[in-house]
Amino acid sequence: MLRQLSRFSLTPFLHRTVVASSRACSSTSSGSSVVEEQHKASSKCSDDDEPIELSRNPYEKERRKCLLCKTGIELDYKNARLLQQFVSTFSGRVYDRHITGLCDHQQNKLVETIAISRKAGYMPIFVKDPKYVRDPKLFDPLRPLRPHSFA
Amino acid sequence: MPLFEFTVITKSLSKADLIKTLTRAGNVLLEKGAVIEKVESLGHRDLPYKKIAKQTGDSVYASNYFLFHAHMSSPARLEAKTILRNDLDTVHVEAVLTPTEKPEFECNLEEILKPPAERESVQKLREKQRLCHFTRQLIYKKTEKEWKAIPKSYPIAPPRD
Ligand SMILES: [Zn+2]
Repeated sequence: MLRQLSRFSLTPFLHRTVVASSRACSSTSSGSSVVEEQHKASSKCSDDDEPIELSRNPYEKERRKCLLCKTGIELDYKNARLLQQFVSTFSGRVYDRHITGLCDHQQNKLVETIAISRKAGYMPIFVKDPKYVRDPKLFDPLRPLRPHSFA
Repeated sequence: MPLFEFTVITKSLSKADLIKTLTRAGNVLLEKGAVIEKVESLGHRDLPYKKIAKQTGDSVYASNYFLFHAHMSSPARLEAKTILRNDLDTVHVEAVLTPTEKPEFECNLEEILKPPAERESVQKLREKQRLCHFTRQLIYKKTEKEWKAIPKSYPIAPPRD
């Protein structure tokens, strides 16, 4: 608003409004050199009233993280109960990343850790341990992030 | 020297025998030049799969788990592992390397959740797309076919009112 007014300050017919505006931003309005005064004032005001440019978007949403990164849980080959939550109850195979919802690094680590755990004798190889079948579900295999490939 | 974790699963033994077996296993590691940091008992557990004890041929369904944290060289680990595996009182032995450095990574789930057109990996594929002549031809033909399938005019003129 003020910037717009200052742009018109040289035109004589808008004199009154300009004076009013200069009063609003600073209490200097008297004498013959009104135009100069208001010019200074308006320029000073315009510095303050410049639109602020922020370095980042304050409305930016937080980056979503996968379950393991969010909770900060380390995968360990001895923790077979946790590992078996990522294994299918029906086929005993590890769910793919479009079902588990893990990032690339964590999914790779999961597959590696499960292989070690099976080799070291902490986890059954072909099935999920029936003791852990009723454990809480971390994800729903029927509602994947991306459609199943069926390949 | 890297840190290895030796998982030793014994067959069901009496306490005295168990002590003997464990001291034997520890001595094997020490002879191979290992520095044993810690010995842990993980308790009496159900095995995830059935194991058969050597010599007697008994099936083992539940047994004692032990964990040896040992610093040793890689070839020594292999030798120690073979010796421990051939021990008559053990059912299962595995040596797992403990990684010393954790690789730094950033969670890229946000990237995965994006639609394919905005995904970086897809854009890379697009930049370096390699279509051979025949694939291009195939795509062209398909599009042409689809285009030609659209009727340009009615086969029979609509009746006049
Ligand atoms: Zn992650």
